[in-house]
Amino acid sequence: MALPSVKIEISKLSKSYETKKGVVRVLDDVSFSVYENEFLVILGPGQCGKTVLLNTIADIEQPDSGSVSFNGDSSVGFVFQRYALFNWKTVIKNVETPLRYRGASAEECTATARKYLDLVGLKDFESAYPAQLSGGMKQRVAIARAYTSGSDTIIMDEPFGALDAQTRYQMEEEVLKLRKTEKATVIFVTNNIEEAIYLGDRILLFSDKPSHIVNEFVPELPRPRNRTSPEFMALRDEITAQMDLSL
Amino acid sequence: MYREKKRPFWQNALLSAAGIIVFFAIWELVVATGMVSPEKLVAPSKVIYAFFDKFHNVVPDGNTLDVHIITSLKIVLAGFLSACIIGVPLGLAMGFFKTCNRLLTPVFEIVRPIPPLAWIPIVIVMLGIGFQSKVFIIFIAAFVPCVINSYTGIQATPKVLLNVARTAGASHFEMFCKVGVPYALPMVFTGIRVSFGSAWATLVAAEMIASSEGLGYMIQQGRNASKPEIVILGMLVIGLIGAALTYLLGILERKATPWRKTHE
Ligand SMILES: Nc1ncnc2c1ncn2[C@@H]1O[C@H](COP(=O)(O)OP(=O)(O)O)[C@@H](O)[C@H]1O
Ligand SMILES: [Mg+2]
Repeated sequence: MALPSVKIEISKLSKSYETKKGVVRVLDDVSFSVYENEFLVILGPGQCGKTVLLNTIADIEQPDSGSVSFNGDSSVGFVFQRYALFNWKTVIKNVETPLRYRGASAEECTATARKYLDLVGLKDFESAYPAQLSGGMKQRVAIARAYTSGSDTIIMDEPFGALDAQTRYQMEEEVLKLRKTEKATVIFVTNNIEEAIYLGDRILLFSDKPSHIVNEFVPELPRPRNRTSPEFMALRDEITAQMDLSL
Repeated sequence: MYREKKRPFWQNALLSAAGIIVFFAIWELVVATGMVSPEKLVAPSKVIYAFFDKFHNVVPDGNTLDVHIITSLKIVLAGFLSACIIGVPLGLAMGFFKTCNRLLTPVFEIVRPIPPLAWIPIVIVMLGIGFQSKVFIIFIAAFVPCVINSYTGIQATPKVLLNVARTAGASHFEMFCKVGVPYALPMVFTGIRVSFGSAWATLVAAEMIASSEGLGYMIQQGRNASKPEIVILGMLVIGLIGAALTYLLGILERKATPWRKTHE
């Protein structure tokens, strides 16, 4: 088997913030590689610096030291932690946004946006406003928007954290479905161990602040994964134990 | 949960009309029964008579009502519109671009607490006693709420929305136009409505600068000529036109921010 090629190389990232209580070190010398077309899950406790890490990868924030380098296209499609939709735009206009900024023609924007709205099952809602949608639907819109960007890399920051368990399971299926049809490198952040195992080709477990990688897991479980299989639960227990230790 | 039954439109209209009629009826009764003497409070019937009469009677102020209304509207609209055209973009820019904020906010903060009327002496010296100086007083009154609401509105833009635009490849100026401005729009409209209110409420004061026509002038002349029905007529016309224009602004606001009706 050919070695997988690296899409993003993250090396020696460190980041601190000055707060009223003094300097808080958030990222502590974080290095890892993200491989082409893999589904990488970043798992870590709340407030450990996951969002800071993703923002640094997406060039929204600058690290104090260290670097992020992309092999090829460095643009990303980003699904933010809270439904970050433009509430003054209809669903389809929201989804078109990244293409518009890239100067695509109106027809191309609409056609691409429709394609992804269809893929996330929101074809009939293209002229609704975000305020009319449920939480799950809003996050579908955000996911469609991330894919519409046409970037090779999709970053999702705890996309389902605010959803109820059932909607969450549905959304996880949606993400896996998109993964089959759309070629992309996915970085998916969560604090939910089950979600990490259900979705990830590879899982990086992060510690609490100052954040560093505790361990890497590659679930050798056939898909679709069974959350109640002994192998699944064994891995869950193993990760839980290590997560508790790192706190 | 208790919810009031939704009434059809005509019932609501009737209810509002009833409120106004009852208000005038009580007023009329209070005067007619002598609870308040007619010397102190003029009866609404006399005001209503004065209203129709004033369209052709030029006593005591030398002009008919329509002339006064048009003169006042011109002053207020000129002051109000120029305040919006200058104040809204200024407030938005101050709220979004740090350089603008640093540069302009101190000046604005000093100008802001000065009451519009305090400007009158200096405005008369600089602009004379004509149309321009009255417009300027209205402008000052309307300018402040335009700036403040646009400023606070755009400052509240969630960072994550700006990040969405940024990861999608937007420039800083595009983030201003396509994220900050639409996000602030509801607040901007609130500012415009407040601003129209203060513009219109400053009218009488602005017309204290030597006038020969206008609703404020008509009120003063009514007072000088001891014609209380003219004074109250002037007040009511100011109230009516103010309410009507505020209503029109509300319609414009709903048209310009269609996504908001979905919250109801
Ligand atoms: N702009 C900032 N200023 C100060 N502290 C920050 C800033 N952004 C993040 N932090 C700190 O970094 C820590 C990690 O934040 P975050 O990346 O949002 O955590 P999470 O893993 O939950 O996504 C937080 O505890 C927060 O205090
Ligand atoms: Mg986070």
